[in-house]
Amino acid sequence: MSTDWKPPIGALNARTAFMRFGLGPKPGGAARMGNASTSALNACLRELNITSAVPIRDPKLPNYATACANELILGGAFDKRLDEVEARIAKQLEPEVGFVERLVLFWSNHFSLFHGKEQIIRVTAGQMERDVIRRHVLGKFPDMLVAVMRHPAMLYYLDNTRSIGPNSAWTQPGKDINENLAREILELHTVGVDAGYTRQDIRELSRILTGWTKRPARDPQLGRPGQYFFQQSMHEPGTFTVMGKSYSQPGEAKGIAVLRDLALHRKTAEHIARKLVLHFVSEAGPEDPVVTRMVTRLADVFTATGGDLRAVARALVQMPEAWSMPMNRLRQPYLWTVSVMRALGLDKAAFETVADVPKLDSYLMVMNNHPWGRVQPDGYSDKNFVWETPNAIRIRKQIAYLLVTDFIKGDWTGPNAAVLANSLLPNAVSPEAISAVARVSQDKAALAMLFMTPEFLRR
Amino acid sequence: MSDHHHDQEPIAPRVLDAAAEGCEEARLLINRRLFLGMSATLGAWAFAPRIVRAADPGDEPRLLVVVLRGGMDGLSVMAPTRDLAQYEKARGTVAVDVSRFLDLDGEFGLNPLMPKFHATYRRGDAALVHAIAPPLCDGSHFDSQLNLEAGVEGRASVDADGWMNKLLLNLPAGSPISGRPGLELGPAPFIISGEAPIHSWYPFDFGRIDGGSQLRAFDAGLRDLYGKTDPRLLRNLDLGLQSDSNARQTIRSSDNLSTMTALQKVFLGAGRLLAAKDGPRIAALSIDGWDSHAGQHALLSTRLKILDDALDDFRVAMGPAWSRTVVACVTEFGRTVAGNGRAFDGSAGTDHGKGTVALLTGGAVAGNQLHGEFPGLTNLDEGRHLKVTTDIRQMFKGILLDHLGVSERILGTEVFAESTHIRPMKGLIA
Repeated sequence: MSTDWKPPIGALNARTAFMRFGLGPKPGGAARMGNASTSALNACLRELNITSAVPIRDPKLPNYATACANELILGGAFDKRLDEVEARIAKQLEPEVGFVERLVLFWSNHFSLFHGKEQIIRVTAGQMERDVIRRHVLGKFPDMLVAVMRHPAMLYYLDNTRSIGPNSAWTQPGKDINENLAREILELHTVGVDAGYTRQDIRELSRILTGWTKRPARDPQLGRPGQYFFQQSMHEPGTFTVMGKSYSQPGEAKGIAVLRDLALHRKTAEHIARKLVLHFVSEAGPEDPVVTRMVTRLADVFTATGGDLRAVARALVQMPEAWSMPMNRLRQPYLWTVSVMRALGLDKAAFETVADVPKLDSYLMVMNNHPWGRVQPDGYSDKNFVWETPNAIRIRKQIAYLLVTDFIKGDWTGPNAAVLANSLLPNAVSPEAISAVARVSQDKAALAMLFMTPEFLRR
Repeated sequence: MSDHHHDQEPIAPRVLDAAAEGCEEARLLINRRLFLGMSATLGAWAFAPRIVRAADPGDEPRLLVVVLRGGMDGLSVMAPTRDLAQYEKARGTVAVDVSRFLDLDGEFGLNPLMPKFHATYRRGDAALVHAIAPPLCDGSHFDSQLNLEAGVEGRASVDADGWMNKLLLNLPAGSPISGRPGLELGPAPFIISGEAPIHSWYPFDFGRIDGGSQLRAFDAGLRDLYGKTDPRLLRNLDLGLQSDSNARQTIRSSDNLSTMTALQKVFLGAGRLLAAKDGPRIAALSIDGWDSHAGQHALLSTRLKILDDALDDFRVAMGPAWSRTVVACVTEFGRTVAGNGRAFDGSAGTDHGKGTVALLTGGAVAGNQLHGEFPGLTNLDEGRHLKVTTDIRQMFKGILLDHLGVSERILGTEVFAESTHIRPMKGLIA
């Protein structure tokens, strides 16, 4: 960043709100936010209180039963996924800041799925995000954890549908444990790899979770194709110990109990606090005292509130450090793509009119940030090196221009790009960037230049 | 320009099957359908001048490391074939018909879905290493991958640099390849990321801002802005533009890109760039999707076939430079010896294990032989894992010492930190 130019604090706070905690500014958004020193923080906090804005209510999208039944459709499963991508992006054009939408994306990535693995995931991943992640995004973490683990997408993705207790009542062939889900619950979803659990803990947890499965796609006697159910006859009977606590409840209750305990484990609080700080603020490690202080603060709030995710989110934006750490990382391609649309002033209706969703989706794939497209269950990385490779910058430059030309049919009738820059991030774009944008003669190319400025790329 | 029209090619049933199995590479191919009607794809390459025309037959060594993510089941790649009963007993539900395996040395056979690798092996240009794994093999994909890629003894931080990046900074001063940037292909693999400059390339192009003078003005304006305000973005933009230009210049009009999968294109690009005069010499790429907890047989069948084709395309793309090339395909761990179901219907898979195989290919490899020691299927680690007899750093060090001339001291202190006690494997390089 240039050394001699510094934006005023109100402007910097607005940029931080939009780029670090939100989905990018809409034209005039900063003016609507106000430029008092607390305006940006208040805009973020306000969104945490509008619970009614969180769900996606669209009768065209499948409910749980319909989505699961779509496991049976022949052809069109890719389109079902694209419908969900479209609905998600349309929703994300609405809020002024988009802080809650960022939390939805964070938790969806925490419980990452890979749609390419199997049709049941392809047709339900978006529904899981709408009905499970969104439902609990401002609720309690234990509820979110249990609900995710009772969803067929996750159970199938991490192979728990095939995990059958060796001593269960199951009479068909194929009785054996599959450890995949149990391992990733401990390592990725709850306590984290440093928590001190052993291979034995993984094995015991995997036994507890036997019977957590989905209904077969085709079984007229069972009905409810594809949906979650607890299959007692697959369940391994017995008492099992996970991280020092033993569980002897009957059937499904044992799994719910262990998940609720894991969800509120102190190591889980720390793991999630670390991930939130990494995602939203800084990738510095525990050697950075500011980061350590933030992690401890968030973990304390998580613990004190029983994993209340609204309280944790509020604590995150209320920490002054969250607003002062340098904006030195690249915004991930998905966030940046949505913010380009927002900056162009697209609303839901305009997006649905002009969007070529398959094409847009393919841009996200090429930028390695495809919704529900991460193969490994650790979710998309928050590490900068993943997103700032030479190739990634080169491709992003191309896509900046393509997004502009895709979304502006005919001539650009809005303000020229330099004027737009000041409407989006007043006093927060460097004079060098404004002048680089102003020097591009063609309107659409100038907009592409604006979206490639450091102020628009970094968070 | 017939290769403009590959988007309209029908998708082969094999690829649809692969995509249904979740194969990322096939997924990319499938998605090409969505590119219908887009302005230009790989065809745009035809407009680039062909500066890097001639492959360099010279003497410079090349190294490509392929990271197979997810934990590849080594015993499905190479298996002991003498005692079929013992093999079947040990593997149970995931036993495959090893009597059909392609003979390697009378004792071990190669999966028949890799006939091209086998032919290369027989020509003396490929080898395999038994029972190998990174030093940290704790069952976590992410710990083990980081450990492999950082080249350290224990838990690694992603804040460190990958060992191949450290290698770039520590090539012998007199080496003809010293000071050359590295190359990464596809999504950034950690193994080569770090402070040493890396070219990167990915075989997609959607058309650009006019392509002519307007593009040049745009790029110049952006470079000027980054130069004034964001040097890191400038460095990466410049490397990206340069990589892309180099890659475009290696594509020939005779290349039948329309029939290639994305992965084949990546390997083709790797081959051409590594072969080119003054091109990069050290490269890394990674392939996701080897985590075969269930349906292992189908999953591996798809992937081994694709890997076999891609490695052979790479060999062809290297031309004469193949003779000075080593490709190492490695994975973060093997898988449990016994399958995890009791049905023999193909639904069974395996959990995270330990020892696995590494595949080496390239004209510089001491081929037609197996390296390392096979610990047997009866004496298992924790009763369920193939024991590890070779630390993966031993193999890497053996390659770096004998192929690239990096001293044992530098290997033990700079490239693989605090590892002087890990001795380079001997005899890997012809």
